[in-house]
Amino acid sequence: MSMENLHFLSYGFVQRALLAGIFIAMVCSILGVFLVLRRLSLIGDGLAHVTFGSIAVGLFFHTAPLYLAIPLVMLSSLGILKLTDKSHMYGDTAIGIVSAVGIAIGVLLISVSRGFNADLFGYLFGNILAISRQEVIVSVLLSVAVVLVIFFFYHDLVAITFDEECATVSGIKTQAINKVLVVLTALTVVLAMKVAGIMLVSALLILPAVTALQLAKSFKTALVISALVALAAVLAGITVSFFLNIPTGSTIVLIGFSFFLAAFIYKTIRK
Amino acid sequence: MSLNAISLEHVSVQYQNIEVLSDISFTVKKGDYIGIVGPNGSGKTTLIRTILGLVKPSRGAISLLGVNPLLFHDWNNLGYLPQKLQTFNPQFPATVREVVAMGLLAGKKFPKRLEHADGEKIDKAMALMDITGIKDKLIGQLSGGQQQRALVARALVNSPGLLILDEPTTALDPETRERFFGLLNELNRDHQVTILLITHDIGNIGKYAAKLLYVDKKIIFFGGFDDFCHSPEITEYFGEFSQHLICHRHDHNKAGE
Repeated sequence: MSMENLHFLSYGFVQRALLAGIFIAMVCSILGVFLVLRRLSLIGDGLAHVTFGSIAVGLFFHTAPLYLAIPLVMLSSLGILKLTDKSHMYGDTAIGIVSAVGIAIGVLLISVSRGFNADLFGYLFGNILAISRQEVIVSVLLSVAVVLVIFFFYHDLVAITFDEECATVSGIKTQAINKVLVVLTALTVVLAMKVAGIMLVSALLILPAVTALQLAKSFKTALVISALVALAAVLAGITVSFFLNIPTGSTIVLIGFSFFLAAFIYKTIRK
Repeated sequence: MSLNAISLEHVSVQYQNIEVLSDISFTVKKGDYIGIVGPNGSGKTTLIRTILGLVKPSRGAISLLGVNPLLFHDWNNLGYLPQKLQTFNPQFPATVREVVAMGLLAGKKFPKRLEHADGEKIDKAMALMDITGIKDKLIGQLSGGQQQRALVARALVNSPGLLILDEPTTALDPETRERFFGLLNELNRDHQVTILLITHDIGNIGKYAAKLLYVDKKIIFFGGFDDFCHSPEITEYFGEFSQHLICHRHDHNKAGE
């Protein structure tokens, strides 16, 4: 890359996108390792659909959609947990129910009001290059908060991810920690929506984690590899999409997928 | 201070209105070594899951080291090996050493890190189970027997006063199984560790455990192995021939010691 090309870093909107992208990538990649190992990969997708419904509600009532989405998606994440616990339903079924209701509410409100389709398009496919200064500050603060909570409960989260029953018999309040995990996921999904859009947000949670699981030789290295892969995908995605004038969210996801593919092939060849 | 490690009074457990355990009462004293035996589906695993507070009884009272299991806090003093891991993902990227360390770190808040003394405890537990040579291998890549040994080491790492083990020897080869039973004997005899162990191998457990608890939805027998061989309840339950066969195998095992 020539010095002339590096000039793009002087643009305020690029700086904002890179800053928010770095923090959101970190959170998604760390949380993703826990979710993938707990077979909760699709919770990101389900909560993204709830985000869609929540954004539609926000736009319908002319309130700030992002700030309305955060509590609504958090409540839905707890709803998924409750359905799984109380009705002995598998996690994927509970996610499917909540996800479908989210989409249904969103589509209903769009069809009733007809006025905000253009706004909604931005949320559906994401546009981190259009992130505002205030959104960057919120993203950075919330990302730091999520990472701090993960590290505070790190040993509990690792033990529960390994085996829930063994964790309970080690004295861990598994139900409380599960609530912490899904609420953090809800917060992360709303944050990551700006990067990849509702349609692709779960890829940010899944791809770095599954890439790391191909290569990791210990739990800690899995977290480090996942974070590095997410960081590389987001930084490369923002840069490539800027120069080629293509959608940022899709570019990030496809670069993330290419990392996974490379790791998968490397692992297969080494066997 | 209570001399009982575990006590159950008239405990019954129901699953979807079907009684799987009925009116169970027994006491495990500190320092006891008890083998729980019974056929498949007899409620052995449910019994120890109820003792641990993982299953709520529909009736009765339980005391685990002097307190109700739901209020129990002294988890470092309890080592548990489940029959199988319920939610374990074979892709879990932890080394054997990390899995054993989990026994020390679970429940501790950040920034709790492994200290020098913790490292020694982990090394000791791994040496006891003969897994030092595979400490850097990923748990998901091990054989069933190696995984089981790593999980037993995890249960032992805190040097607990009470060990509850659900079929700990199923995946072990005969040599390792003998060594493992020897280790349990040593822990019980020299360190007064209370042991509650589920097994299908009545003949073999009779060689080691001080008492047998035979469960089939309810308690069929609770007492020493010699009494087991002369128990009219067991004669009625098994028939004279089967009882004789089990006891003959036990005598044979004892003679081979």
